[in-house]
Amino acid sequence: MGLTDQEILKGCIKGDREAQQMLYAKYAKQMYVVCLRYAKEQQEAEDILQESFIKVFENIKNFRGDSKLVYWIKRIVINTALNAQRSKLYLYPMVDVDSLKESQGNDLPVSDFTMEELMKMINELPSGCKVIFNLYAIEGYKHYEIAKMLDLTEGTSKSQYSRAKYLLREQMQQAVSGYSKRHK
Amino acid sequence: MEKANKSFEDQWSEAFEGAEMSPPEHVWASIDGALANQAADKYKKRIIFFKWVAAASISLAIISVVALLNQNRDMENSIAKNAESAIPQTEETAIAQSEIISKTEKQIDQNKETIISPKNDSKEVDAETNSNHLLAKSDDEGNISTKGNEVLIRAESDEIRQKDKSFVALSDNTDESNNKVIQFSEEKNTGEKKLNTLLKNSNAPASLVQEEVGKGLQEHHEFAYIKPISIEPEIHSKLWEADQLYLVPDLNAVINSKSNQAFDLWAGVSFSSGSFNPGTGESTSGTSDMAFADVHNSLGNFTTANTVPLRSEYVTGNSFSAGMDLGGKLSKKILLSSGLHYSAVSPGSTSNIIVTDRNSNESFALSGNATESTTLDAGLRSGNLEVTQGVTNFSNTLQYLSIPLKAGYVILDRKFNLVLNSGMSTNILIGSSLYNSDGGLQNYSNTEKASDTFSQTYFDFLTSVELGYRFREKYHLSLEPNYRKAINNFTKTGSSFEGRPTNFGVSLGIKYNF
Repeated sequence: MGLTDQEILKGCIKGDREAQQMLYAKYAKQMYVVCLRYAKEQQEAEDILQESFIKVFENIKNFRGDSKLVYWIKRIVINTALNAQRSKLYLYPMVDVDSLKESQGNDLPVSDFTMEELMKMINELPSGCKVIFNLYAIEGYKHYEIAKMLDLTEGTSKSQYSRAKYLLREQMQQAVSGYSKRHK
Repeated sequence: MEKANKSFEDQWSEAFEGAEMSPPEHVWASIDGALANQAADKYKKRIIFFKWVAAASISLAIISVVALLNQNRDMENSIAKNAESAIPQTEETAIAQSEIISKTEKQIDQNKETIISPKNDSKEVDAETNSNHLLAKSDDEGNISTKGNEVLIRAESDEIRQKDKSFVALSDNTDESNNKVIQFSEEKNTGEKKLNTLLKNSNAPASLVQEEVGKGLQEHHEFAYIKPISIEPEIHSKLWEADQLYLVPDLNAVINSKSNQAFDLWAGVSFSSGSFNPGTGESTSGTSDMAFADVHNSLGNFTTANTVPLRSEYVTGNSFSAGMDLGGKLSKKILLSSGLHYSAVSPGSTSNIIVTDRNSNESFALSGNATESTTLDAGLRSGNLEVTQGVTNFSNTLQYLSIPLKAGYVILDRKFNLVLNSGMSTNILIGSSLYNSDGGLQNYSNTEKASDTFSQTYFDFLTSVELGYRFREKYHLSLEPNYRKAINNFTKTGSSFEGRPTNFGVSLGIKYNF
C-alpha cells in the first residue's frame, strides 16, 4: 500500500531516505519532462533534475501546504532550470523583435503530434524563445511575471513569444508536409 | 491577439499535462550520494563545533588555573614578607624588647599591690566560693587548671605561646600570669576596669566577682586575638606592622588590599580592524532605475538596448578605527566605558552601465547614486551619448566619528581578565570618497556630496569579549574581538541602497588605571 503525500512529507522532513526515494519515484517522471523542455541536452536535463530534488529535500521543511506538493516541486524545478539557462541568456541577450508576419492559414492541431515530436520542436527553438514559450504557453505565467523572473521588459517577453510561436508553426507545417511527401 | 491565439497555448499545455518520462537510474544514485554527503558534512560541522567548545573550555580552565596559582603566589609572598618583618633579630628589635620588658617590670611594680592583693583575696574568695578564676591568674607557673574560663584562658595561652613568639619571650622574662593580668589592667575596655575595681575591692560579693571576671576575660580574649596591635600602640607600631597575625593571614586585610587594586577609572587608546559588510545586496529597482530613466528622457540620444536596467551593488570591504577610551567601575562586576574613535570603512561597489560621450570620447560609469541623473543631465546635455553594458568596480571610503557606549560584565578579574561587553555606538559621517578602481573610466559620483546618499548619523549595536592582561600594576593590555550590527540604515531613505552594515573586527588596546 502506497503512502500518502502527507506521510511521505513527514518522512522527508525527518530525513528518512526511504521516504525521500518514494517522493522521487512519485514525481521524478513528471519533472523530468519539465527539465527536458528547458534543457538543450539530455545530460543537462538530468543535472537540473538532480539539483532540483536535492533542493526539494533541503527545503521540504519549509513547505507550508499552501499549494499541492506537485506544484511546489514543479516551481523549484522551473527555477533551477531558469538559473541554469540564465548564463546562456546573458550570452545571447534578448532584444525586441520587429512584428513578425503571422503565419497564414489555419493552425495545425497540436494533438496531431506525439510528445517526442513536440519536445523536439521546442528544443529547436533559440534559447530565449524556448524559455519564454515554456513559461507562457505551457506553465501559464503572464508576460509581466516572465519579465520579472528574467529581468526583461514585458515587451521583450511578448515579442520573444511571438517569435517562438511563429517558429513552431513553421516547424509543424514542415513536419506535416514532410510526412505527406513521404507517404505519397 | 493574445485572446485569439489562446487555443494554441491551451493545446500545448494539454499536450504536456501529466506527461511523464522515466529518468535514468543513475540520477537517483547521484541524489542519494549528494544527500549522504550533506549528512556527513552536517556531522563534521557538529564535530567541529564540539571541538571548538572543548578547546574554549580547556583554554578557560587553563586561564583560571593560571590566575588562581598567580593569586596564591601573591598571597604566599605577602605572608613571607610579613613573617620576615615581624621576627627581626636586629638591634632595633632587641631594644624594643628591652623596652617592653622594662615597661612590663614597671607595670608589675606599679600594679603589684593591685594584682597581689586581689590574688590573695581571690584565694579567700575561692575558698569561700569554689571559684578558681583568680587562682588561675595567681599561679606562678602559668598553669591554668580552673573550671569556668579554663578553655578560654588556655586557648589564649596556647595561641600566644605557639603563634606569638614575642609574647612568649616576654613571658619567659616575667611572670606569665602577671603579664596577662597586666594586660588586663592596661586595657581600656570597661570589663577590665571593672575587673580591677573588683579586684581592689575584695569586699565585693563572690558571685559578682566571678561574673565580672568572666566578662573581663572574655572581652580581653576577643580584643587580644583580633587586634593585638592596639594593646600597646607605640610599641606595636614597630613590631606589629603587618596587616595579619604571624603566619595566619588576616583575611580582612587581604580582602582590603585586593579591593584597593580595583581601580575606579581608566583611560586608554585602541585600534581595530576588520570586515565591513554594508548589508545592502543588489539595489532594488526604483531610484536606481529612475536615475537611468531620467538620463534617457533628458538626453535620449544614445544607442543601446533600453531594456537593461542600471544594476549596482555594494560588496563587503574593510574597516579600520582608532581612538581614545575612557571607563570606570560602577561596581565590582559592572564596568561602563565610552570613547571617541575615528573609523574608515571601505565597501566596494559595482555597476553594469557605462556611458560614453561621443564628442569628448570620455567614458563614465554610473554608480547608482540618487543625484547622478541630474549631474548627467547638466554635464552632458549637449553630448552624444552611447550607453553600453559592462561591470565596473568602485572603491568607496566612508569616514565616521564613532562614540561607543559600552557596559561590561567582569567574568574574571585577575592578572588575566575577561569582560563581556555590550552597548551601542553612534556613528557620525564626516566624509566620503568614491573612485573607479578599474581605471580608465571616470564616474559622476566622484564629486557628489556623500550626504546626498548616506545618512549623517547611524547607530550600531555592539558586543565584544575583552581579554585583558594587567602589567606593572596600572597598565592593562586588551584584545577584543567585536561584532557590530547597525540598528538603522546607513543610507538615506529613498536612496538607491538601503543597508544595515555588519562589522566584525578585532581591537587591540592599552589602558592606564588611575
